[in-house]
Amino acid sequence: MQTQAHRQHEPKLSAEQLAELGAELDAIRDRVLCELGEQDARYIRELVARARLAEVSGRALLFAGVLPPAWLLGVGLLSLSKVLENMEIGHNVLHGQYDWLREPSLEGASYEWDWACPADSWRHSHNYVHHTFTNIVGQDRDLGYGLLRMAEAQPWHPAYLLQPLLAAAQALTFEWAVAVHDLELDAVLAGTKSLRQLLDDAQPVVRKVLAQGLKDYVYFPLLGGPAAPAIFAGNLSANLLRNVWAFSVIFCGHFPDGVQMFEGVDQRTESRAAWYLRQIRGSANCEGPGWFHVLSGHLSHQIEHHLYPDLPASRYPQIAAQVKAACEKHGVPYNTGSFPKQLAGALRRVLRGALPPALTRLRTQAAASG
Amino acid sequence: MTTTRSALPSALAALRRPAGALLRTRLVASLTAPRGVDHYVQLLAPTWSSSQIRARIVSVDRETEDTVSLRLTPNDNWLGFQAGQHLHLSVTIDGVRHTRTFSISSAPCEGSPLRLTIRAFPGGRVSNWALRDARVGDVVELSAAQGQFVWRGPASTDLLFVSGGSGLTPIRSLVQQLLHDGHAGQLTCLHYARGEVLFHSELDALGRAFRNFRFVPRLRAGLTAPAAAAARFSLDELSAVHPAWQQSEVFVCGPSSLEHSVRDAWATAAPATQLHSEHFRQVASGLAASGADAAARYQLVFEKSRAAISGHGAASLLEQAEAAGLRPAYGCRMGICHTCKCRKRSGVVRNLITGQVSDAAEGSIQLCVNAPLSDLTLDA
Repeated sequence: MQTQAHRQHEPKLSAEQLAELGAELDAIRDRVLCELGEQDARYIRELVARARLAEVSGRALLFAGVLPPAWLLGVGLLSLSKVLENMEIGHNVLHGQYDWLREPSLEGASYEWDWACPADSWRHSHNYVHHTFTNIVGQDRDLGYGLLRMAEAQPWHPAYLLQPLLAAAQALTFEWAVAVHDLELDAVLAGTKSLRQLLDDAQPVVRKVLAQGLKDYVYFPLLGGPAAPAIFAGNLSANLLRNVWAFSVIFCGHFPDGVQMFEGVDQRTESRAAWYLRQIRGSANCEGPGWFHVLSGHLSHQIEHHLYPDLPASRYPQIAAQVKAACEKHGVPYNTGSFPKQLAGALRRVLRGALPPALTRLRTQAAASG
Repeated sequence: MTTTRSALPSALAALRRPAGALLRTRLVASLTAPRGVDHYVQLLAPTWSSSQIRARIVSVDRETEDTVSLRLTPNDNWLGFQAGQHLHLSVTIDGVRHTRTFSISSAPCEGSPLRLTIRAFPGGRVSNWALRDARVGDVVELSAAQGQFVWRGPASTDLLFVSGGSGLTPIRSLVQQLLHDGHAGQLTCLHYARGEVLFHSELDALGRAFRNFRFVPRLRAGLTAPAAAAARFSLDELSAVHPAWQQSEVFVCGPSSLEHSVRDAWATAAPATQLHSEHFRQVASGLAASGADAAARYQLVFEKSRAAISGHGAASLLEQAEAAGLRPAYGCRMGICHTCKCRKRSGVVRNLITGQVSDAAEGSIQLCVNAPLSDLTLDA
């Protein structure tokens, strides 16, 4: 029934309406650009300072990790710092959101973040591929990460029966899963990418994964002497917590109920307004308090992020009402809901995608280009 | 050049170098990767860095109505300078970092702190910050000293310095150092100023103290038009001030009009001697070139591609580069993914989506959504 309802609500915009929507969305962007200034600069610099303080104090507490309260607080602070660095700082800085500050340490093209995936590989797979070809089946590699079947248009195979387990494993190892993602192992298996190319591409990934792993699992524990087991366990726990959190937030971005998947869209001939519409229909927001948005790197405002990936993310909550109003004016569904609701929708999609199409119907509507 | 140890207790100061050496080890690099050790040490010591030159402002002194001197104590990464050299100063103003080039007005013989003397001009972001907002204790970033506006020749050579306005700053440094080093040749400093003369009493005093140094200021303030025109550089003027000018090597620093007239005079009258010049440009905050001229052609230099092409303001830099057979990196071609981002060394561009016009200073731009509004040099 819901499938039918969504079908009825798919926006049918005339060319004029689409152009008007595009102009309204451009105007929102221009207004934010004009307002950018000292408060945005202060926000990101203070956040960097806080994440750093959380990391230093978290790691220091783990050195006293034989005491359970110190260990717990240490894990909490270290997880917090990792979440902030990876999501609200790293992801957003890598988009070039703060390039206008001209601050070399916050420059999108040169930033290297504190997680396993090399920033260079992320800039390609995420900033370019995912944000340009969002939700186009066969082009957006984030659509199931070459591993999961998340759209009806992806042909089913019995191996997909294992996908709930694979998704759980991916959540726990998310840092590494993302690092490996850009290597396109699926393309190597399919024979469209050579083994030699894979080995070339793998070198920086292996180096970064090793460097990150050695730091958390060898160097810091060794430095702690008798506290080594507590530090090792603490770092492992912080990484796991951050992994599961990042996985959950990111799966809520494009996989909840009602998110549209696309087939056969030629991005090269798509207008800017049509690209905007695809970003809105292919993304979903999560509602929550201010701290939740910060901890999600404002990916909870996935729609605003996909419309304006290089605007400072802390501006998304301010413009969400304007974006939503523009959508409502033109009858474009604006997908939002509580975090538990959106996460449940995304996990249901994982389960449904595992089953053969004969048994279930995915709610996703593979729609032709509009 | 050594750094002032300020208020640090001497025991702590003695630990500074070994601590610095420890912080530069590979182990510390591994523990602090990928952010790097500076990121963490900044919590405690904002001027410490493993590689960057950071400096603390220790005094701010008005020299004239529109000119200010900042004295700076750099950290241990500062390797010193030669008299006459300049550096890049980076400061954060309203959250945004700005970098400009300034000559060092102190001389190496004067030791630390080093001094920059900056004249504010209307619309000058950094120069007005220096004049009005710079405070003792602020931390700024410096580049290494650079430039060939230095004297490495024999001490017996006669040297002539011609300067305009704040172009006197590197010359003041050169004169102090040369006199300190016992330069034997004649040093003549011909200086043009509109208003107050920088370092006036100091240079006058040097003129009295050293037989081989003359300071000749030429003031244009308060003069009527013909007299003001006469107070411009000319060969007649030069012959009157310094008859033996053809035997001198000349150093010129000032506005480009001054540099050109000296250069022209030298090319015709004294081609044998060498001319050293240092020009400075005022980088106003853009908009000067905002009127896009459809017919205008610009020279676009793509440094990485080793190519200079002729361009126009009607299409993106990416399209124009590709049309000329260049292959700069690109991604979405619509301004969202930043794959085509590159350094703009100089020049003005207009954003084709927002219509925003950049300033002329160095910065980074996206090739796919920017069109030229002037000649450009790009690291692409």
